[in-house]
Amino acid sequence: MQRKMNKVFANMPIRFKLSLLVGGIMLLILIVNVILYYNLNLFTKQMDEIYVGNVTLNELEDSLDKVQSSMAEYLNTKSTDSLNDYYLAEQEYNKLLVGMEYKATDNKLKLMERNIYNMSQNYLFLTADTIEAKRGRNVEKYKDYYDQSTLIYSYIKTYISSLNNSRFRANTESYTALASAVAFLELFSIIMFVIMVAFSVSLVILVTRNITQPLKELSYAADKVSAGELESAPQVKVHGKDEVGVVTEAFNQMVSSIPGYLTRLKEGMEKEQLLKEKEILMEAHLKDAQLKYLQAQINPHFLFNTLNAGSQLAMMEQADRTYDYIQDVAAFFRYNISKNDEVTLKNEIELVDTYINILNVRFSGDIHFTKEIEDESLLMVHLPGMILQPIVENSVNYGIRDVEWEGKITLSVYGVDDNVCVSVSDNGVGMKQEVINTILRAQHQFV
Amino acid sequence: MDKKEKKGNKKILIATVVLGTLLIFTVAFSIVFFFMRIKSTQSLLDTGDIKTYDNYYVMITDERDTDFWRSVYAGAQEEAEANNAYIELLGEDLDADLSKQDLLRIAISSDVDGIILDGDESDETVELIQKATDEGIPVVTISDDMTDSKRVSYIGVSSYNLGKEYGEQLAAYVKENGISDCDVLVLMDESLNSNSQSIIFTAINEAIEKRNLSDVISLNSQIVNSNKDYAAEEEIRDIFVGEDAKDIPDVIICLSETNTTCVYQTVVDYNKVGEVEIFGYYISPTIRSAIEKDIIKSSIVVDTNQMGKKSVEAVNEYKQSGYVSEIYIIDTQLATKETLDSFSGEGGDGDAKKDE
Repeated sequence: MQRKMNKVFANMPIRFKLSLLVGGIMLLILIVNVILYYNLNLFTKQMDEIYVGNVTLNELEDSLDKVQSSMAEYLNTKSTDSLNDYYLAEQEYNKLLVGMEYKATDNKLKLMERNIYNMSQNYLFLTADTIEAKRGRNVEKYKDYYDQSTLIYSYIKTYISSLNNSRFRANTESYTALASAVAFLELFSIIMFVIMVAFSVSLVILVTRNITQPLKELSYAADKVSAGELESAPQVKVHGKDEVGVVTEAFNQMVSSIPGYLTRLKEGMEKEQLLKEKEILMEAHLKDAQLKYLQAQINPHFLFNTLNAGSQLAMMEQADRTYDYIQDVAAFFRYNISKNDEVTLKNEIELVDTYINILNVRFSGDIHFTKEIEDESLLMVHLPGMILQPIVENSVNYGIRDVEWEGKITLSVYGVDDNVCVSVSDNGVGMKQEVINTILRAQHQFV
Repeated sequence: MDKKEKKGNKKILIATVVLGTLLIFTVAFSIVFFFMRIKSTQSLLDTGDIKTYDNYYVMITDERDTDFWRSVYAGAQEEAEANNAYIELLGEDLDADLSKQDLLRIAISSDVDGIILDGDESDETVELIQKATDEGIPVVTISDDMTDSKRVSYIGVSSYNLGKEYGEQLAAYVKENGISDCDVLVLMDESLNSNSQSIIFTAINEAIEKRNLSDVISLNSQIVNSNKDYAAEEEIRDIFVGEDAKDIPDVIICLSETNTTCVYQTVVDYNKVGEVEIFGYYISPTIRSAIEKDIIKSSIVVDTNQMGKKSVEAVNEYKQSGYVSEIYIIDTQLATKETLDSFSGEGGDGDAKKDE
C-alpha cells in the first residue's frame, strides 16, 4: 500500500507535487485553526449561557414581588388600579412560569424549579382566592388566604434565592472550569502550532529531498561523465516518471549510447588513417617506379651508345660481321625500348629478322628462318608491338632448341577475306594435345 | 554519500511520521478534551442528561445533617430509585433554615407525591399532616411516631424494646461489677414524644425490676433540649459542672447520637473516664472509637438503611393499594467492643427515636 502510494507520488509531476505540498500544509493550518476557533466558540457560547439562568430567576422574583405587592395593595385600597396591576403581574408571572421544569428529576436545581413551579401555581390560586374573598368582603377568609399566600410567597422567595445561589455556585464552578480550560486551550494551541510547524517543516524537507535526490544523483553521474569516466558512470536510478525522471531516462540513454558512438568514430578514424598511409605508400611506390623508369631509360642509352661505339670500332677495324651483329643487337634493343604501342606488321617482321640474326650468330646459323609473304601490302597493317618476336622466341626455346635435326621456323603472312593472317610454325618437338588444351584453358581462365 | 543521504531521508521520514501522528493525536485529544469540559460544565449548569421520575417524595427532619439521617436518607434513596421515584431530603438545598412545619407546608404546596416525616408532638404538625392527607399526599412517620395524626404508617424502633434492651444492659453491668449502689441517668431527647419517653423509661424499669435490682439502681431521667442550637451540649455539661453537679451519675443512658457524643466528650473533658459508664445510641466514627477505648460501654444500633428503605416502601405501597401496615418495626443491634467488627459497614450515627 505504502509502496503503491510512494509510486503514485513519485510519478507525479514536480509542479503537482509542490502544489500538493503547499496546498496540504495550508489545509492543515486551516483545519487546526478551525478546530481551535470552534473550541473557543464553544467556550464563548457556554460562557454566555452561564448567567442566563440567574437573569431569568431574577425576573421571576421581581414578577413574584409584583404579584404580592399588587395583591397587598388591593387588599389595602381595593383600588381598580391595584387590581389591574395584580392581574397584569399575575399574567406576567404565569408567562415566566411557562418553560420551567415541572417534573420530578434527579437534578437538584431542576427539582427546585419544579417546586417553585408547583408552589407558584398554588400561590396564584391562593392570591386569586384572596382577591375574590376581598371582593366579596369576606374579611375572615381573605385574611386567612392572605396569610397562607404570604407564607407560600416567602417559601417561593426562599426557593428562588436558594436556587439562585445554587446556580451561582454552579456557574462559578463552570466559570472556573471554563477559565481553566481556556488557559489550557492557550497552552494547547501553542503546542499544537509548534507541532504543526515542525511537521510542516519536516514534510517540506522530505518532499524537497524527494524531488532533489534524483537531481543530485543525476549531477553526480554527470560529473563522472564530464570527468571522462564513461565506463564507471553508473546508470542513474529512475525514481518516477516526473520531469526529473524523464531527464534521468534521457541521460541514461545518452550515457549508454556514447561508447558505441565513440567506438564507431574511432574505427572510422583508424580507417581514414590506414587509407592515408596507403596513399602515401602508393605515392612512394609511384615515385620509386618513376625513378626506376628513369634509371631504366638511362641504361639503354648508355647501352646504345656503347653498342654504337662498338659497331663503329668494328667498322674501323673492318670487321663487317661484328659490325652487323652489333648493329642488330642495337636495333633489337632500340625496338624494345622505343614506344611501340602500334607498329606495322613490317616492323614486327623486321624485328623477328633481327632476332633470328642475333640467334644465328649465337647458335652458329643453326636456325633456318623462312618468310612466306603473300602480298607486301599486307605488311602495312597496324598491330600492337612486340607480339611476333616472343612467339618466334618460344618456337626457338621450346620447339627446335634441342632437336637433332635441322630446325626450321616458317613465318607466313596471308589474307583471308578482309583479315590478315600471320602464322608461325616450326619443325620442333611439338606439343601434346592435352598440354595444348591445358594451356588454352589456363589462358581462358586468365582472360 | 548515497548511504548517508538515505539514512538522513529515513530519519526525516520517521520524524515526519512521528510528528504527523503526534499532531493527529493532539488535535483529537483537544477535541475530546474540550467536549468533555463542555459536558462537565453542562452538568454543572444542569443542561446535561436529566432523569425524570414518576414520583417525588420528600423526607422531612430537623436533624438532616446528622449521619443517622443521612444513612436513613441513603436507604430511602436506594429504594426510591428502584421504584422510579425520587426522594429529597427537603430543606438541605435551601439557604434559609426553615422549621419542620415550614418544610411540610412547602411539601404540600409543591404537590409532592409522598412525605416521610420525622415525627414530633406539635399540634401544628398534626394539622399539617391532616392537610397533606386532605390533598391526597400520604405521610409516613419515621423514627418518631405521631399516633394522633393521620399518618399512614410508622417506621421505627419499638420504644419498649429499646428500653428493655437498655435495662438488660444496665442490669448485666451492675451484676457483672457487683455494684451495690448505682445512680443512673436516662437522657431523654426532647424530639422524642412524651409517650415514647415514658415507654422507654418504663421498659428500663421493668427490666431492672425483673432482675430484682430496684434497690441497687436508682433510675432518673432528664430531658435534653435538642431543638435549640448547641443546647444539648450545654445541658449535658451542666450535669458534670453545673449547680446540680454534686451527684454525678454512675451510668448515663443516651437515647440519641448527639447526646451520646456530647456525654462522651464531656466525660473525657472532665476526666471522668471510668467513673461514669455510658450506654449510647447508634454508631458513628466517634462513638466507634469511644467504644474501642472502653469509654462507651455499649451502643444500640438501628438499621438506618432498612428504616429508609421501609419508609419509601410504605409510601409506595400506600400509593399503589391505598393501604399499608400501620407500623414497621426496625431491628436494633447492640454494639460493644466485642461486636464492633460486625458494624464495619454501618454508616451514620443517629438519634434514638422510638415509639411504643
